[in-house]
Amino acid sequence: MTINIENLQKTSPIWYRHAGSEGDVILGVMGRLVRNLRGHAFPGWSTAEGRRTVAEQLLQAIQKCPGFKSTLHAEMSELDYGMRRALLERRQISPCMAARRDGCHLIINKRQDTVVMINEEEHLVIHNFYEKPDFTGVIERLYRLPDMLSDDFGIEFATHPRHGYLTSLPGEAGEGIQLYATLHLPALTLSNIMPQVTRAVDKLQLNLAPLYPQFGEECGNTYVLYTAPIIHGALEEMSNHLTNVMMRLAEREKQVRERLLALHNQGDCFLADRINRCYGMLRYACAIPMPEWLEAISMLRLGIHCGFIEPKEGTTEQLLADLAEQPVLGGEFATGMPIPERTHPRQATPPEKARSQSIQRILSNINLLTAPVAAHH
Amino acid sequence: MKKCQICGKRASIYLTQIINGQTSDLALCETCAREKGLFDPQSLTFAEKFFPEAFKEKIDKLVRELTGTHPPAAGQTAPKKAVSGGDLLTECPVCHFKLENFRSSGRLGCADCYSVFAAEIETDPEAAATDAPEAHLEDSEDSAPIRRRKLEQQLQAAIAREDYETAARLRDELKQLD
Repeated sequence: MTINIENLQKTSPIWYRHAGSEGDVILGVMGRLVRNLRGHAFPGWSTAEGRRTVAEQLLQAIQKCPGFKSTLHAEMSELDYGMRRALLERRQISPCMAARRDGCHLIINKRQDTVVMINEEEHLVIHNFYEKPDFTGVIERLYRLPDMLSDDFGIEFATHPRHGYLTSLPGEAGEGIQLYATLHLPALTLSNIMPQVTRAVDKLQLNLAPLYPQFGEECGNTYVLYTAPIIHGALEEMSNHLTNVMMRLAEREKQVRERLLALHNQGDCFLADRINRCYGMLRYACAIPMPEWLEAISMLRLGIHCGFIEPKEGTTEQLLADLAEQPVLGGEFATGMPIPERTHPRQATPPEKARSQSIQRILSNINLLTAPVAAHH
Repeated sequence: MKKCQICGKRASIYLTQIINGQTSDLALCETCAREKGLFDPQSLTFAEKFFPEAFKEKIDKLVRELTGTHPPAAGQTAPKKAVSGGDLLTECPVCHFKLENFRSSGRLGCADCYSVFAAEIETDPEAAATDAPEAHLEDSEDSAPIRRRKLEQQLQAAIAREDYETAARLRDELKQLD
């Protein structure tokens, strides 16, 4: 099946898919595995012919592997700018892959939780998304394909007894794995302590960055906590370390939410004001640009978590699931439409209008419990 | 004046850690503190409060690492990064990636470059010596093009100094490679 926006949008990004089921804070985790084939130049140095040889060898094997028989597949040269941008926005490919062309292939499985990139920075790159905060599960899934490739198809990966799996950047050689966690931290962001948290995380040899840096540092209140490429023999240690810091951050976020709620109960309207403003914008805006959308949806979810918003019919989980199914990303870019300039007045784009219509249908089915309380204070 | 426990230079960052009632002092210079992520005192204080367990673990680990490390004697400098010697290959015989490419981009061309440019990649000179192509001459795991290139170089050197016995042995080794 070819990769196009219709096929992609059948499934929402995994970090929104299960929002609420495992807690509202940890949206999902991701692992990146890289491998290079023995006896071939790395993609950045090899010729187009060399990349094609590697791609043929890997594609033939991958397409016979269970779980990869019915997939979305394309050579990068077949994808236009808008499509590449959409894949990048959904964080399904890396920026390096978005710039690749001949001899570089992209394979996405049906659930869209595994993405295989051939000839990205390395010969074989696998991204696996997992909705539960369990890195052991991600690592296990990441190993499946390379294990099948080497055991069943005799593909040999470049290794070194001391460096581990070899990569084009010597500093990244080792386990060939990097781990990521996507976190929704609206309360910490509202408390203006994210810069300090980011620096503190840096002291623990981890990194914390916004999920959508292109829309601003704190847009959407969603962040990625991740390790550097893990050195040889340190996979378990780093996985545990990342889990500990991730859980600690989630715990801190919940504590700050409780504190904000306590302030609200004492008559402070800060939290209710932020949630109500976002609700008002989503409820009545005719066109919603992406940064505003991300911010407002984040506040809405915080409102649901804090009990400010409840559905008239159905359950809170269903409401969160309905929010998750919104066409969050990929609209503007995948249609090949240029990114609108920030001039006034400017015309609203069709995805911006579609977003507002879609969310208004959902919002007509909710009760906003804080409105009279906040107004009273 | 305390010296940095890693490189022996003048220390400017001091950390005190109490583990099981036992006090350990860390003294580091600014460069080493930055490398170990222990610069920026404000962030350190925040990290200690915000992630107490993880921060304690990190400091414990560093203290353990440094327990067995003795500062270099006066006048002795820290081990420098290995630099290329005169006989270092400047181009990978397998993928033709050049040493200058590595120096400018930090990337390598293929898996064999790890052996060819070992002296440049490794920070530990002993490890570099183990990985260098000449160390693997007797090792059949090394790739044939690297072996050939090195043998050819040694053969030329042996002929130049009229060491015909060695030259004959090297010639035979080259024939065996064919």
